[in-house]
Amino acid sequence: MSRDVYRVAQRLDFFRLMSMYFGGIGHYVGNVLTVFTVYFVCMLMLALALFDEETIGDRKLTPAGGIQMLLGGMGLLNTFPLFATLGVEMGWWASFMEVSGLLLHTKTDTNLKLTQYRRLFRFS
Amino acid sequence: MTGGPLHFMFHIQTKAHYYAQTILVGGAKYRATGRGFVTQHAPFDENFRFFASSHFYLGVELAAALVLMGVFSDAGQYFGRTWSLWLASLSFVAAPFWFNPLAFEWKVVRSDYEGERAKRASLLEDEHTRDEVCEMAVF
Repeated sequence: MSRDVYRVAQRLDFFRLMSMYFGGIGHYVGNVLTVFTVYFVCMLMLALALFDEETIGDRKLTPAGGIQMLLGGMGLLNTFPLFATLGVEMGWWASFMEVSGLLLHTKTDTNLKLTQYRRLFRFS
Repeated sequence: MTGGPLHFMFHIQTKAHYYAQTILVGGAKYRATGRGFVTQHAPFDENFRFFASSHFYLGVELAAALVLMGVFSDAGQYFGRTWSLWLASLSFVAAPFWFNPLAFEWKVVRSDYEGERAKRASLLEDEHTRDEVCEMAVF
């Protein structure tokens, strides 16, 4: 790590240190972990399918409800703190519209906004 | 649909690839992650060679794994379990072409195709490269 990062890190309290980590090098660590996880999940599911291990005891691996599986891939747990905070700030309906807009509107800047929102609300 | 999530995921893989490479083999330096505003069409062969090892191989590998899984899986809910992985795979493979200006202009597509074919032909004429390609094909 470079000298200036070391000196900044020495002077920050714990929570600001967290903030700096997640805005700086931790961001890259997170990206690597994200991609690795995608790869790992994919290969794990393939292996389970190939070796006929898609059961837990005698139950099937997948739950009965389809909608949970669909939403599970969307990282909603990450979004709930944002939804909660915005809900208190703007009202539930407005915050629902804002969050689903962020998720569905599919614009680069809104996606960056979503990431920024998540970081902001978790670490401020 | 402007394909924001596509770009977002592609960007993540760009950063992840170079970061992981730097950790594994060293050689830290500035890497352009392509945040600039692009207005010029990049030729297909250039795009391909630049992104192949970092994005395309991974994307195709994921897609192949998902297809195999679809064939052998009995657990059901294939779409629900894999849509996000398909999306990631698609963004790794398609994003540079999707965000390339004029990518759907027929003239440009043709010149891209010709350029790629010329490049391949010249590569195969070179004996050394041909041997390498043949070795890769054996693997």
